[in-house]
Amino acid sequence: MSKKKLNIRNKLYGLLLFNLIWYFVAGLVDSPVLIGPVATYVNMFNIMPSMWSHLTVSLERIVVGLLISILAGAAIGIVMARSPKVNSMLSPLVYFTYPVPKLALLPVVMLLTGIGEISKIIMIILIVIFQVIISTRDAVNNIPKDNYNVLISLGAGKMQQFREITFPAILPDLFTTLRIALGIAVSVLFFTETYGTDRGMGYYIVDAWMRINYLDMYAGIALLSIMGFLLFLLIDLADTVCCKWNKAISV
Amino acid sequence: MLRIRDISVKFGDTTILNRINLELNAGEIYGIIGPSGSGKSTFLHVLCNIIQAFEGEILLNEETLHPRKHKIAFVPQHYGLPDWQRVDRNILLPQRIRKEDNSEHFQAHYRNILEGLDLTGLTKRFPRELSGGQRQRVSLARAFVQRPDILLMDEPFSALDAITSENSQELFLNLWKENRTTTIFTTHNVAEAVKLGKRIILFSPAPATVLKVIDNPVHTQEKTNDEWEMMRFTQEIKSHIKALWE
Repeated sequence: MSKKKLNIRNKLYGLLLFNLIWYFVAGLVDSPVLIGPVATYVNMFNIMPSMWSHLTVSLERIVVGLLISILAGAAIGIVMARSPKVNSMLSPLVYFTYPVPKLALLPVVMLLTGIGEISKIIMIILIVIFQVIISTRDAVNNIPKDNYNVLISLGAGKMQQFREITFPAILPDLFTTLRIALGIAVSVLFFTETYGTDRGMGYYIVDAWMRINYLDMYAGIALLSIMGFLLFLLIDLADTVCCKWNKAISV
Repeated sequence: MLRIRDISVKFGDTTILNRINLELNAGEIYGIIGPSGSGKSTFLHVLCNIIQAFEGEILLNEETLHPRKHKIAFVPQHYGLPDWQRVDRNILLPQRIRKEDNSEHFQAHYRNILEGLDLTGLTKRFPRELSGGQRQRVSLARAFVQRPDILLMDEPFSALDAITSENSQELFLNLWKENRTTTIFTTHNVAEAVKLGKRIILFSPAPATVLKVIDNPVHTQEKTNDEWEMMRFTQEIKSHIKALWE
């Protein structure tokens, strides 16, 4: 219990520290292009109604993109770990495409899928899924064989082995991957939303920038950050609830 | 009666088990002694269906041994307790896999085993929150709770310190006396084999064959420990090992 409290206190401390630094730097620089936190938050609340629809669009793209990446990536990772044949077929492809700067593929994806929702979601998936595949595969490979052996000796089927062993064993790694993926996905989303769309937080921020409305621009950045932060907290919460055993203190 | 006929296992070109033949009586404890890497674990893995590529046949009461037909309880060397399952969920794993009922009668049996292995207060802990001895007892509980036709234990006490190991052996023997399960365990500790095994099976260095099956005159399941007789028999086994392994 005290550990959990400490965790929350740490997060609040981080939030406070960040805003303090922002506050003092903005005060020191004293420039119209570096707006401080107080003015930003006040404006954010004032223009919230006009930002709301942009926020929900961005949130939807992130959630759908991440969900597809995690589900498909984990499935591929598990199959690769359990089948040497599939692994030797897909591994070279995954390794080859891993360092390719996929953000640069945005024009290609947009040419192929148009400027609608699909291109944004595909970009998120394209960038996040490889990480999910690799970390899932490695997590499955790290499960002690003894765990499976006991189930085999009981005559357990493949589905029972998945439910009792594979899935719970890789869950903590999936949450870790999801955390990393979230940070990347928010950045990718921002980038994709600056082209060929008039909806989403990325569009809102760049539009305000072009209109030289720095107050709105900062409000947009702050709101996008808060969205990311809240999603991050949500993942943390799910991790704490689902993987209590992983926090158990070893004897 | 468990009949093991001409069991051979090869990994590539390497022969691990070379024509193992054994006939084991129901309701007895058999201890397999063999050098490290001689294929003792492989032999147990064949019996519990983990290794399916083998020659020969295994018959339990004239029927091919299989986890779908028989209750095989396996205690692996490192206990094989999933970290994410609390002690009670771990022990009841066989019930879930076989979708067996959770009757009053079973509950009494379950509680009896928890008490017998001194686990009653630990059921809500995760394996990581247990000591080595406690983890080993959870693994034993999971084996006994299913009232198995056959119990297989791979080096069950070797990871424990001397005192914990002795304590665990006592608890095991008490529980075994109530259930009389046909048991096969492996060990490289002669004293352990003598203490627990009604009969002692000597494996050769790799590739494993059965060198000798020795009746244990001082098996503790029937009479009180006769320390002197036990020491004498331990020496006898050791001299067999010396003569046969070289």
